[in-house]
Amino acid sequence: MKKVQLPTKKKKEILKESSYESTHVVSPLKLLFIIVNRNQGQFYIKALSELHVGATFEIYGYGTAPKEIYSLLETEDYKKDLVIGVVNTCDIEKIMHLINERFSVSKLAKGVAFTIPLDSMAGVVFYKYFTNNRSIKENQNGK
Amino acid sequence: MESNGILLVAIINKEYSDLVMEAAKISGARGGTIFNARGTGNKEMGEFFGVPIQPEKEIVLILVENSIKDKCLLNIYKNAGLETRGQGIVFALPVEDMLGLMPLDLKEEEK
Repeated sequence: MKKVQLPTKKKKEILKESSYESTHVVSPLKLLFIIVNRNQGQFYIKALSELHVGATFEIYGYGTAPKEIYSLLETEDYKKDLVIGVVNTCDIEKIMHLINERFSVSKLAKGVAFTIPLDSMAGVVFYKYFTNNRSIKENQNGK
Repeated sequence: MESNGILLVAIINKEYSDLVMEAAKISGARGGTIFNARGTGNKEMGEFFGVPIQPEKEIVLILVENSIKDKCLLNIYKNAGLETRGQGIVFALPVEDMLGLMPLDLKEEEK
């Protein structure tokens, strides 16, 4: 039976130096929710992917105002798109600015957007996936 | 960026989302968004005629101000909690960087 060799001090130091944190900027992630009228969601999916957001999802939903009101107004605005994305905290300002601009285009483009802080994540691989790490700049200070 | 908002998430049996919205609106909430989901917890139900049964659910998202959060939670629990037909559960999440909703005090000023 082979003996399992415990890492020596040097090996431990090398492992520590080559850790993801030491070579990349690691900032917390947030869950971004955008609730807009149906068919408006695709704009945000495209825009977020251009802003290097790794994962975005679109869910069909419904507004809660009584349907009779909508039928009186002859619109189908009760149908909503719910866009969910995992975004980096340092990109939030850019993204919110973009969303705000889009909301001001017309009445139909209006909606609600908010973020929820994420507490923890299982594994660096997921962090890399969600942050689309190809676009993360290497930290020059090594911190 | 901190905001004064709270996201209430209610998971409830299908067709009973009205109970949640009624309770929330009584407490001062303005509106919400509903989407469909499936439950996974009830294994005893098993299969019916060889077809697996999954209870259909609705998830209701309601954005409210922090000041009315407790009132909303209590009213939703009373109106659509586990002891009602809706068998709903509800929880609150902190919200940051909110866009698109006017604060209540500003809305009152406009009136």
